[in-house]
Amino acid sequence: MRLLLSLCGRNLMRHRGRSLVVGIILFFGAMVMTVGNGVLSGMELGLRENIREGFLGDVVIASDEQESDNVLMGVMGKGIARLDRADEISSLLEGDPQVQAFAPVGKNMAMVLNEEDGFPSFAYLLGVDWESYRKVFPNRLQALEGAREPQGSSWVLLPATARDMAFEQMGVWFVPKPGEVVDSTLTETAKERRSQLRVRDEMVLMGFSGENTTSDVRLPIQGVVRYPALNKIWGWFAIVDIESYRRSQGYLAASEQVTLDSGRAALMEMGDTDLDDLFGSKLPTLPGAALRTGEIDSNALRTASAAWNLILVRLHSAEGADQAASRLDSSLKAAGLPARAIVWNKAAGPIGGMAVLIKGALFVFVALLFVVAAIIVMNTLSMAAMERSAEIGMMRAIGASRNFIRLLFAGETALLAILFGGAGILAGALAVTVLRSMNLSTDNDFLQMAYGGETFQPVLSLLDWGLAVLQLAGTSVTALIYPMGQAARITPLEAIQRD
Amino acid sequence: MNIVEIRDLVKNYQLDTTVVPALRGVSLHIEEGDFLSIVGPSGSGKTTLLNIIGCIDEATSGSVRFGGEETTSLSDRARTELRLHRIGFIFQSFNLIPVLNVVENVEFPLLLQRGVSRRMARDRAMELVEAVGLDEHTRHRPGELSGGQRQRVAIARALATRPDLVLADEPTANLDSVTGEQILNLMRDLNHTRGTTFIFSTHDPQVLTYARRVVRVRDGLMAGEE
Ligand SMILES: Nc1ncnc2c1ncn2[C@@H]1O[C@H](COP(=O)(O)OP(=O)(O)OP(=O)(O)O)[C@@H](O)[C@H]1O
Ligand SMILES: [Mg+2]
Repeated sequence: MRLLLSLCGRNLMRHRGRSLVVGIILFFGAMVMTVGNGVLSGMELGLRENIREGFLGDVVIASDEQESDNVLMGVMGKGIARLDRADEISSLLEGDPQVQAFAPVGKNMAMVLNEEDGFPSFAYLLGVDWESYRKVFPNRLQALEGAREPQGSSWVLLPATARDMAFEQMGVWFVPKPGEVVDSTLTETAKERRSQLRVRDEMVLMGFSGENTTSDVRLPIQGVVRYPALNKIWGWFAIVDIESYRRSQGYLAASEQVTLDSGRAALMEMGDTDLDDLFGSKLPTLPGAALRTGEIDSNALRTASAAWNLILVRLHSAEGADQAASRLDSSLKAAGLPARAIVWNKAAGPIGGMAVLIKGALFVFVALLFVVAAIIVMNTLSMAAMERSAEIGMMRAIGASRNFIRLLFAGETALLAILFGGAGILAGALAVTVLRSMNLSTDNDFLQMAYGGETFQPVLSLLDWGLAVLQLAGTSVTALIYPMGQAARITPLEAIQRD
Repeated sequence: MNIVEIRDLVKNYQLDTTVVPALRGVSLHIEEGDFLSIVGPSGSGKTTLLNIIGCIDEATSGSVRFGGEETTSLSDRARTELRLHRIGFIFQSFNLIPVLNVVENVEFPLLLQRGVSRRMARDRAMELVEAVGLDEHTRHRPGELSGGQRQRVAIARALATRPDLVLADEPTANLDSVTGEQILNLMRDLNHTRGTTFIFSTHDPQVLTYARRVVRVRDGLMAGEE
């Protein structure tokens, strides 16, 4: 063993040029791979933080009728299924030790009606109960104009992105009450039309869900807001109070609930009665004459506190969100609740997809690097085996086994990998630290996606260190296999034929 | 007692489509403790014969017995073991491992053997380095030695494992005549004092003055013995 090691070391010194070539390739290969790992990790962490702390939380509870996991941005026009028995789900969540906070929300599309003559626009609506919403997403929204904390019972917080889009489509510039324009926040086109800008401090929203009961609601804009990153995604959602949301979507609002409560109770009392009976001939006579019988359809059942679409759940720790989601899912099923739990990255749908795409591209790049590095190293080693065939043949002649030759070759490469590759990993780690401290930030949406946020924060986890070592070992082994076999096949005869 | 018994040894080399006969039926007995020289013109088959005896090359047909054991049917692994433990080699050139110094080169085959301690190997190597007169140069690398000195190291290494047989293919071909003479004398002395069997090939017409026995080959056949 000592013999092998000293042989390896001295051989490397003897063939310094070649050792240096292999070493430098391993160095840069390891460095780039390490940086790549850091970028990927940073992106993942950043995205997780932005999605988790910005919009979706760790786990999303949706109706079990909600087919797609992607609850963030479904197919146009296709709303999210209504979540029933939100109260019972809430108590289940309250009793869960992993759950830190949760916020039920309504989420669907709405038309933004144009009070001037002109085209309407549309927006995604996020109907929230402000108290629970801010508990799950504290300090995430930044106020660009107006208030960050809405006051009163009906309001809308409009993200700048949604405002810009509405302006593009409708030519109306929305501002918070009382209607003051902040010049610095105007878009280029808005600046050009500054003198005849049509300014509004109220929005008229109308549900877009295709229900015949949708109605328009007029809401005062209390603030124009933005998120720290990924505004192109979160910025589509106008945040409105839940009552206004329900009215816009045609769900009867709580204020109209009184009349329905008794009716609902009666319906509940039916218990296990076949659901078909509801719509069949045996329609029960419901107490409460105020009830508009014609509306005892699925719509009417959406009333009251049950009218939510999602519950956004924040866990104590971001780790293990996957397991938490599946555990919550089982709990929901076990409790017989018509809901399911979706982990954040699945719920984020297209963003998750984009992340996967960027990740895939980076991965392909790293894999390509891996292959190129392995091929160059393989070539160099193969040349070394050929050049040294007389020496190797002589060693074989005086009794060295094939395995000894293999070990000699493997040892030399391993030494290079440890020295140069190790240095490469350290250099990569240093580069990651430097990149991190540079705090590169971007407004570019694609880059924000790649950064996982507005600043580039690559980071190396313990797993990444392990991965870098594995990648280095993988490259070395891949590069080694062929030349090692080649060297082991050198016969003692080759020592003599040189003469 | 015969250390090597060769019977009807045939070796053909395949060169593309043509068959090159290198040995065409050689029979030869070599006694233990012999100091035997194989002579013959270039291309007569000397190297081929030594390689097959030394289990470096394989016979096409015929029989080679080494210490009573048939070697032509041995596996690569078994032949490697045989070379390591029972045969020593001295080549014409490229004998030594360039990155090891004199004493390390000599102890190298001992360290390849299992069950030899570093201490034992080093002692044995030092003893042999002294025996070949290189005790002043134990730390030198092959590149820092003259051709004759290198062949001395090769001889010391060939003897390190106390082999039954030492094979040397033209060990003096790269040396001037005076140095060559010294090398052959050294081999001869070691043959005397240690009783190791030596077989070497040479072009040197003066060989008769050193060798106890000379075997002549020509065109892959035995052509006489003196
Ligand atoms: N690997 C080989 N492939 C093909 N032919 C070979 C090979 N090795 C030797 N030969 C042929 O076999 C014959 C015997 O060669 P060998 O090397 O044994 O002769 P030699 O007596 O050692 O010659 P020299 O005195 O020049 O060293 C020659 O004709 C040679 O060309
Ligand atoms: Mg020859």
